[in-house]
Amino acid sequence: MALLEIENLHAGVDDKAILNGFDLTIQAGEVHAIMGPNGSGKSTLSYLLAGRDGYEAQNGNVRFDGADLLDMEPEARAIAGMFLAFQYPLEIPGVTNMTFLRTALNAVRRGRGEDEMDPASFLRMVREKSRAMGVDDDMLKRPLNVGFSGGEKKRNEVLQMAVLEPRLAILDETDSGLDIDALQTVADGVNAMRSDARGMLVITHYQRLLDFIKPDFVHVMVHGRIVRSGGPELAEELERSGYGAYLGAETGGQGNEVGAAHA
Amino acid sequence: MKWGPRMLDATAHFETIHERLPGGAEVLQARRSALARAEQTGLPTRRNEGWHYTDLARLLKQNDAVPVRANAFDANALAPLQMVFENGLLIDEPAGDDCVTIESLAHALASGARNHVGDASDNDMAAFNLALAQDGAVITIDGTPNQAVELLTRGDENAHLRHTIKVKRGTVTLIENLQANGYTNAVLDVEVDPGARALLVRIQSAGHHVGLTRVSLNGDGAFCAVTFVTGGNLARHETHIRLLGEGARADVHGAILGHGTMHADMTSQLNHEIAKTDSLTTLHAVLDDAAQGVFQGKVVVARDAQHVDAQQQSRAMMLSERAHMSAKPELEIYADDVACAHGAALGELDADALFFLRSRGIDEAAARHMLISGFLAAPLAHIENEDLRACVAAHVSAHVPGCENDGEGVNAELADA
Ligand SMILES: Nc1ncnc2c1ncn2[C@@H]1O[C@H](COP(=O)(O)OP(=O)(O)OP(=O)(O)O)[C@@H](O)[C@H]1O
Ligand SMILES: [Mg+2]
Repeated sequence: MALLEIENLHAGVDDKAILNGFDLTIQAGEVHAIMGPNGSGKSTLSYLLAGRDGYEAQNGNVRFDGADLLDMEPEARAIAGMFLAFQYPLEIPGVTNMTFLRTALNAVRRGRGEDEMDPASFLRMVREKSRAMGVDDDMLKRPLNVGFSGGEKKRNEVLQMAVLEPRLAILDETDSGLDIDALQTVADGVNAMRSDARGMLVITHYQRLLDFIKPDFVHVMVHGRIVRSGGPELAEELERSGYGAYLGAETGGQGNEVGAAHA
Repeated sequence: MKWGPRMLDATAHFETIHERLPGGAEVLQARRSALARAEQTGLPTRRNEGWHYTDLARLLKQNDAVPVRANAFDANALAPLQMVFENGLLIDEPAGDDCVTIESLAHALASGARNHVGDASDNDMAAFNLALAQDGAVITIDGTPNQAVELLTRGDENAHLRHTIKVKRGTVTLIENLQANGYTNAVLDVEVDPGARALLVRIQSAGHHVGLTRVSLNGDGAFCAVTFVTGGNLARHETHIRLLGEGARADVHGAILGHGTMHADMTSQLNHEIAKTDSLTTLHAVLDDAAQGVFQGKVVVARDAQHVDAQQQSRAMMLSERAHMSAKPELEIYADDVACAHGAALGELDADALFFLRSRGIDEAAARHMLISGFLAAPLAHIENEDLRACVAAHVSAHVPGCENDGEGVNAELADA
């Protein structure tokens, strides 16, 4: 059974159609990358998968580990192993990063029928994982993301992923805002999480990230659907030639297969 | 259920208790003239200055209201020096210690002191208080005591309490624990000498409380009040502070955990009468159901009071369409080289933040609790004493508006805020 199976997904906000027949299957152990122009619907897809209010599917199916994902509350999805590293992480005043991490981990563990982690083990585990992610003690004590720099917020997202150990991690432009060293740190963190039991969906604009996190598949998303899929070489091709060809196909060909654009 | 404060007929009340009122002939004379004034002005209505948002006469007539209550706040873990006032009378008088002299108002007046009844010339509610106060605390601090001093108010009757506190040296932590169900009029006069500090933590969990706190900072001392209204149908906490010495610092922080038909009013006036004095006034209101919050903050900076830093901020989180918030921050500045600012913000629970927390596996109720608690962490942070802060945090956590307070797995959050 596939880890994630998206079939002919049509979805939007209010009356605006954003996803127009989106298909994607991810098996456990695979890393998929999605690239696509601004506004093509990448974040919308990730919000929809995480269960954000206001993003409604009009048509299509999403199965996560065999269950109907779209029927589940956001917290139930997290418990089932869905994780989204936000493109724009939220600031939560008055709640320390540490308290947040502990509350989230214990909520997820309770939801999975596991025992809560005792405070000492939790502290040890978080210290270790945050060191690996370049998140210092001070950032753990501060209110969640408040006053964090753009790059610190992104590292903190990956730390949350490391703590929650999801089945599927969606990274929405986790590389944007990272300096070169931080990119390496974050990529190391993500790579350390790669396993046969876990899938990843990496959304990015830059091929550079994919040099560090080698994807098994690369997809091009335009106007709410995947217009081409390939291996890592596709990312290099996009870096050279941009999205022009695909955009043309969409405006002119109205749903023509992608191959036509290349013909 | 019919419930509410008994209507206050000041003269009738005075006639029934005046033989028991402490104080000699001179005090009685002062009480009679205060009573005459109180009867003439009556309870304030919205036409009175400073009462525009809190129509006291009308609010005290609502005697069919559903009681708005929180659990009583309990600071016993701190083993404070505790004075318990029941229905306006002291029932339990602790011995002081090396640095604390404690006396009841009744005793102080019986031994001939006159000044403890204070002055009512500039305040209508103080006039009622002067006429009718039977008891209160008279406290002198001379050095930093090991324990906090707690004034606990309870009972169901109308009560008038008058407290005077003089801090000569050291730092005192005061707890005003307001759990009376009836109507209470309390006046608290605080005098802080140079170098000394008075730190007041006030929790109102029930009743109809009208309080006036008047503070004089005589030198480079400090006063910090942090008030939490967690229950009660009516809360009016009015604070007047005079900053009289260079280096004086005043903090007035409030938090309203509004639910039911609670009406909670935080009014303050800070007079910076001299240069190099600082103040910070804040309110954090969370308003659910038909709760009403009021912030009236006024900062007055006198001519020549240069290098004053005075900030005021009111923030409200509205959880219900029936809830209402009025904010009136005011600056009156006669000096030219000062840093003063004020602001008032009003918002709702952040839906994006809620989703963020839920996407990490935290269920909706716990996520709401976490966000609202986070909002209330700011006033808690102003409580200097760690143990007391933890006590108040636990009380606050159990009464966060807009949450099912089953408390499961969430009570720890505020403790390390
Ligand atoms: N809440 C919303 N209301 C209206 N339009 C929206 C909303 N959310 C997204 N959109 C629109 O849907 C389209 C897709 O947005 P989305 O954020 O998914 O793009 P994206 O592929 O992630 O872009 P980027 O690369 O810039 O992050 C855009 O045109 C955007 O303006
Ligand atoms: Mg995006």
